[in-house]
Amino acid sequence: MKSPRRLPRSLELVILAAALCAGFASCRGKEPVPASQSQAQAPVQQAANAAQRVLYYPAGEDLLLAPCTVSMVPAGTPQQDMAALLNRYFDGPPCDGQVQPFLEHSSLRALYMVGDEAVVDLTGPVRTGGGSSTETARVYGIVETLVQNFPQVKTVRILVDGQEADTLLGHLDLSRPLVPEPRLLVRSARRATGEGEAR
Amino acid sequence: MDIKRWTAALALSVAFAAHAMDVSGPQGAFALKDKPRGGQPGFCAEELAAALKGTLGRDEVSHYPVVSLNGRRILLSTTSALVSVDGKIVRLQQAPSASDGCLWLPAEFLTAVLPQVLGGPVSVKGLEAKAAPADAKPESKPETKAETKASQDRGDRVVVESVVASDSVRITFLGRAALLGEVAQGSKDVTATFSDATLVGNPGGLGKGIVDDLQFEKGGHRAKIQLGAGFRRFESVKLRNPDRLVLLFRGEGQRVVSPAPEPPPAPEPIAVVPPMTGEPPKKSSAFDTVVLDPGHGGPDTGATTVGGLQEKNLTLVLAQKTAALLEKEGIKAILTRNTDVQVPLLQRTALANFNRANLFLSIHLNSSPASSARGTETYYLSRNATDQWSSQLAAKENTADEASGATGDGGLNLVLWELAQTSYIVESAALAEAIQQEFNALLGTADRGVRQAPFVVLEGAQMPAVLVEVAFLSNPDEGKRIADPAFQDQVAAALVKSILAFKARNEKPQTPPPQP
Repeated sequence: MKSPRRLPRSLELVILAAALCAGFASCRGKEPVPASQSQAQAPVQQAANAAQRVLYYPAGEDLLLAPCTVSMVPAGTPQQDMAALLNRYFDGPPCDGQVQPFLEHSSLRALYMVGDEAVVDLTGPVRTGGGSSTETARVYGIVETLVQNFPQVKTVRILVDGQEADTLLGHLDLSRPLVPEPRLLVRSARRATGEGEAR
Repeated sequence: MDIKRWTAALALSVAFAAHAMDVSGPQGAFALKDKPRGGQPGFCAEELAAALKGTLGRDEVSHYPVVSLNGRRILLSTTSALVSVDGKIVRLQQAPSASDGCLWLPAEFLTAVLPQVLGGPVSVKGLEAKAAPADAKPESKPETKAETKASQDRGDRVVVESVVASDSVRITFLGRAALLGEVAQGSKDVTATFSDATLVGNPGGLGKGIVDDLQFEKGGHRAKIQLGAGFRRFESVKLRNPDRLVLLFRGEGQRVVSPAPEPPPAPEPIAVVPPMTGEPPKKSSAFDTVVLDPGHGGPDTGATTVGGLQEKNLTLVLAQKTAALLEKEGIKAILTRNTDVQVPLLQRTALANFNRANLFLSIHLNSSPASSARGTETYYLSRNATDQWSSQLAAKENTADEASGATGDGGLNLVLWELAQTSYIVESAALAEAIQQEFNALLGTADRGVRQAPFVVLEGAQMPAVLVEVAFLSNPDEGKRIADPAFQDQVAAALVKSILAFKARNEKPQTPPPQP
């Protein structure tokens, strides 16, 4: 019987390096890639495994949260996928017309699940700045991104530096778990997520 | 849970309990077995119900445990330290808990709740070493380091909070042990000593004038309040529900010692934060009181403009101007703060509730990472969030391993007590719409729309309540405009116009339903 033909060693190394690089980028979120670009640029092996994920950033004049689809290579467990997605979130929106609500050096400290609640522990200057718009964009950008991408996440609780925080910027109640707020989404996204108008 | 299990558990608790609490009150004397939990003395509600010929059951709507005594209904919760006595809320230091066939209640229930149920004072003996009754007199004696350590270990804490108004400073000591505090006045200071408790909290930002400083001494057992040159007199009062000692210092004026060199200067205060002591003011059903809440304050500056203007100062000016216009319309306006001080968010709505305000309006200025963002946003409380929280609390209660049987109503009120605003969502939405329309016209901007989110400052308001983000400080044009006194006058006028429209709508007599 003829044995399977091995790839040349140099090509193996190239593919391995590309896979490691892609995996690293997805975990660290250093190079957010819009879905449209990723299909053209990603290595064959990555594209085969990649999942479409949606990030929610404030956009337009009204600063409602708008979706931005990216391609992510699965990081392992669902929790690792969630962490990878949020790490990518902190790198800012790859889609035009959206803005990054977090300041530079804001990052994810930890993420874990308690039942159907995702506990997101933030660090860095996440409590720096002001305004309800900034605060709602930060908080609900994370809530929508997790809840819409991971069906097992029903609520999100936000911690800062491992501690409970009353608010991020003096407005929103972070002492309780958060659920999506459809009225903070752009109208098209409300329809896409199946969320109706706020009651 | 079946009767046999309850009976067996009760028998076991009687057999193994080591200490007894001797309780005497209007209905005679009886003994309860002390069953400490978490280091705190307490007893089983079943035993109390039996001793007073009452019943223990469960509310049929909320499934909360209910103790019926002397014709009164005491609603309990194992996730909250709040207790409802025929609808009146009493706050305990520790929540009840249920396990091993015992619905455990902290010993303070006997002195904090029982007198209201039995109609007279209740005294408890057998707890002196652990939890003195609230009306007991502490022994005055010098304290050694060992004693200090011992009392700290006991875990009694008194939380210190302060509110600074233009002509007064209020310092509140919260906690059961606060009622045991001893107050003494010297020539330059006032001291409050709590022999059996440790003071905690950071009542900073007191400023200077009436009160110059507040320090903890004697290992955290004594608060020393340094009086300022403007001090004239002080009052102290001990209050219940929650237990607290309030010191009110009055004088010529308290000024904030903050470097903030920022324009614009605040006009003379219009309203003074009234102390929340004694009975709430009596009030007719007329729309005559509005609480205005200038956002942020003290070290919490809020948003800033490129030029360095701070939200906390601008919101104060806007609130004061709005208050002046409201007063001209015959509406009493109360500000949650009149100076540059930090007021806890929950205390802001508590002030509105205490004064039975018809409306609560929190005034803010916005900021966004997109500097082009402009216009007004008006928020009211989110139903999504509060529904979620309420159902979670109710679910926890439903799974608690407690007795069942009694019937009643109103149990969910306890759950919703901390989310009182849920009862006013419709009115708040209408108010938000009125404000939003007014400001769209004033600013000439596209409608950013009324929004909903779980804002802390709105949650506890027992009246229509909204938060308005008047304009974006991050927008260079709006940042300049909001610093202009003439524009500030326009903003105040727009707020008053919205409030008057809301008032008119709510005072309009209801159209009688058509006759069949």
